[in-house]
Amino acid sequence: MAYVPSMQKLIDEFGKLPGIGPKSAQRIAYYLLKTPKEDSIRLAESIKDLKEKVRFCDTCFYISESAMCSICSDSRRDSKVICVVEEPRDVIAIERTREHHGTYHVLGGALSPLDGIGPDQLRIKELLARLQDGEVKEVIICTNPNVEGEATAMYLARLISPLGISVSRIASGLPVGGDLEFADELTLGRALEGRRSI
Amino acid sequence: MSSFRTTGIVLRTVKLGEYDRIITFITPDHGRIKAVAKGVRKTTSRVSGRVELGSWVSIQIFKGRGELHRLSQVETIDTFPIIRGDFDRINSSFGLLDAIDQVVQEDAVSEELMDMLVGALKWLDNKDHDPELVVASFYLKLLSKEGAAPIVDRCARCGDEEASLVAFDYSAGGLLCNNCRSGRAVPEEVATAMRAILGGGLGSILLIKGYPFAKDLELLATEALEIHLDRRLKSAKILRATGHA
Repeated sequence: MAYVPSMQKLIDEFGKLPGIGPKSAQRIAYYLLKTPKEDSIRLAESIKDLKEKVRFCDTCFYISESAMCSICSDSRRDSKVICVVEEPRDVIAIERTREHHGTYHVLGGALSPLDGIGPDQLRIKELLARLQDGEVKEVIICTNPNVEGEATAMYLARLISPLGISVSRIASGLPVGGDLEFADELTLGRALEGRRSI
Repeated sequence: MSSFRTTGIVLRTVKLGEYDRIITFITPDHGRIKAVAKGVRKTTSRVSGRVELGSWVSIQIFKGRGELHRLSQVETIDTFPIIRGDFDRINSSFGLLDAIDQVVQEDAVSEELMDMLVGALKWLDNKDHDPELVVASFYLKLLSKEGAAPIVDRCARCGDEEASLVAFDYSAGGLLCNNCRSGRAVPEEVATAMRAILGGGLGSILLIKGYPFAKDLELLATEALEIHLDRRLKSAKILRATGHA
C-alpha cells in the first residue's frame, strides 16, 4: 500500500541525501511524524536558513553568512599568510589545530585531469588576484597528500613563486600514535625525508 | 567468499561514503577490476599511500557478487617516485592512465597492455626522458596494439613511397604527401620520429634531449587516439590548460 502523498514526498526527498537509502528515509519520516510539531518546524527552518543565509566568502570562498567570512573579517588574523585548502571542511580541520593564524583560500577541489577538473574549474584565478597587491608574504599549500593534491600544489607553486612570494607545502609523514612497521613505504619515506633535528 | 592475488596499476579512484574509495586497477590476468578499499581516506589507513593513482601494486582481492570486489591487502611494487616529484611527469602519467582506462576490458587477459603501461611509467620515471615524447610514443604504440596504427612509411592516400610526407591526417590514414595533403602540416623530423616509434626505434627517440617537436608529436598522437576511441580524452584538455602540451 502506498504512503499518503505528503509522506511519500518527504521519503523521496530524504532518499536523495547522501548515505540515506529508502529504508532509512522511511525511518526518518516516521520519526518526524511522531516528534512534536515545533521540532519538525525548527528542522525545516534550519534547512531554509542554510539555503537563504549561507554563502561563500567573497575573498576566501569559505562558508559564511555575509560577504566576508568570520576569518577574513577578523583583524587579529595575519593577512600576510594564506593557507590554501581544497574544501571548506579542510578549513575546520586546520582551525582545530590552532597552529595557523593567517587566512585561508578554498580552491573548491584539486586538479584531476582524469575527471576533467582543470585550473578553470578551481578558484586559482581568484587566489592569484589576492596575491597581486603585494601584501601576502607566504602561501601555505595544504591540499590533500595524494597525487591530485600534490599535482595541484606543484602547479600553484609554479604560478606563485615567480611573484616573489614564499610558497610552502604542508609536511606529510606518520600519524601520531601509529606503528612504524605498518606505515606504507611512501609515507615512511616522506617522514624520513622531512626529518628534523631535536 | 573467494579471493585471488594479482598485480595491478591504479587507473582511477572514486570516493565512496565517508572513508572509502573505489579503486580501478588494470591487472594482467583480469583486465580492469574495481575494488572497494575500506577506510582508505582515514589518515590512519595503512593502505592509502599504496593505492594512489599510477601506483604499481601487488593486491589481494575478495570477489564480490557484482563487478565490485573488496580490496584486502596491498603491497607496493613501484610508486615511481620521480614521476611524483615532477608536475609535468604527473600530468603525463594521467594521460597514460586515461588512455589505458579507455581500452582495457573487464575480465579479459590484458598482459600486453599492462606491460606497455609499466614500461611507459618506467620511461616517465627517468629524468632523461621527455614526458611529452613518452606520452606521444605510448599513444602511437597503443594505436598499433589496437591494430589502428597510422600509416607512416608511405602516403596514406596515394601510397607513394618515394614522395616526402608533409602532412598528418589520422582520418585519412596517417602521413600524406604534398599532392594528397590534408589535416596538419608536419615537419620531416616528426614524420621520421613517428616511423622510428612505430618501427622499433623508440629507445633512440626517447634519449634525444630537448627534442624540439615533442609537443607537435604529442598533439598529433593525442588527436589520432581520440579519433580512434571516438571520444575526447579528458586528461588531454587539462594537460593543455596547465601548459603541458
